[in-house]
Amino acid sequence: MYPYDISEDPPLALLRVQVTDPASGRQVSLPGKLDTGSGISILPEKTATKLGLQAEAEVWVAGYDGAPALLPAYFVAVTLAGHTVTKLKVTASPRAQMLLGRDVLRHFVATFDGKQQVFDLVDP
Amino acid sequence: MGEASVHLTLKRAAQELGVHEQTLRAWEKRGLIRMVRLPGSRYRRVPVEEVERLKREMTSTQAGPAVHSGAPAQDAKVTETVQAELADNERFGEGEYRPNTRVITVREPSAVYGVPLDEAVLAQGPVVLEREGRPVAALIAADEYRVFQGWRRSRSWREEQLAHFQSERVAFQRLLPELLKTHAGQFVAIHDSRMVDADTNEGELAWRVIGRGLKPVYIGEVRSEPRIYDVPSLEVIPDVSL
Repeated sequence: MYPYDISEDPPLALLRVQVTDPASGRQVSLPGKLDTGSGISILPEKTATKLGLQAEAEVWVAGYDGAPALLPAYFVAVTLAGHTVTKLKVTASPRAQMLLGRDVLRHFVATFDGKQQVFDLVDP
Repeated sequence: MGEASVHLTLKRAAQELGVHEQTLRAWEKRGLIRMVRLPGSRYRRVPVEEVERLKREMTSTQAGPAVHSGAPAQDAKVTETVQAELADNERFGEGEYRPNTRVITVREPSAVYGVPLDEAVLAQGPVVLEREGRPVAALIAADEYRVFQGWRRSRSWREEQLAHFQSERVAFQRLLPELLKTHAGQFVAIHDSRMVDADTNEGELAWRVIGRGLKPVYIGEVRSEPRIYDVPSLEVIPDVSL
């Protein structure tokens, strides 16, 4: 089980993730925010720059207002909760934490206990 | 008190009033400020009482903290249109400026005007300088400018990333009508303006292409309309450096 990050209000499910560029083997560790509402995972632009990623695809992403934006996309490996998701297409935006969308969560059994402010990610 | 103690240099007077020296010279030409030339000197000086009078007039034109047009109150050529309520300004309704934008209309070369500003004024909203009905400049708070810089930096970075595979992207668009007949529903990898690989699994395709070291490469889904990913989580990141 992992504790919610209570420094934010309301508390959120946040855990450490490691992102790997398969081409160079470079890795970056950063906090990742679990987001069941997101259809694709999003890296901070800063992380993409650190990894030296170069776009290999593009995606249209619609935000809260429904307005789509064209963003670069990359293929990376993401390690979290002791498991690695490879061949993952992610995009990037100016943000501080990685957003872990349903494309990552589909590989896990995710349990959110908001009452106890804990969550779990298990790869069956 | 001697003569020197009741007159200010042009530079000092400009500092006191928060305007440029050129502004004071322009005001003098228009008879809006009285200056004196000291005996034996060709330099102008500004009587302290003139500076105080202008300070009072510039302040009295506003209710509470606000932007001054920079010209004396009796200057009929300068009109300041202060817009606070949406209903008060039909231009807001047209979406020209955001609410709480203060509009200053100037009708003479902008060098004539000084605009004393501080953080409190700009915290109320941006200030737009207009000339002959056209916006010529906008002033925003430093924090807001940093956010803007962050946005602009991010946009440049994104454009650079997308430009990286522009030729392959163009090739994909050119090939798409044919690919829709042969590879509909699949993912294809474009390199050197031609399709080099295809797969129904995007990740597998990407891993193969990356393993071959093909750069630049564009991996696209063969479908008539692009897929749109939903990311509804609203998150405002004011300034994240790259």
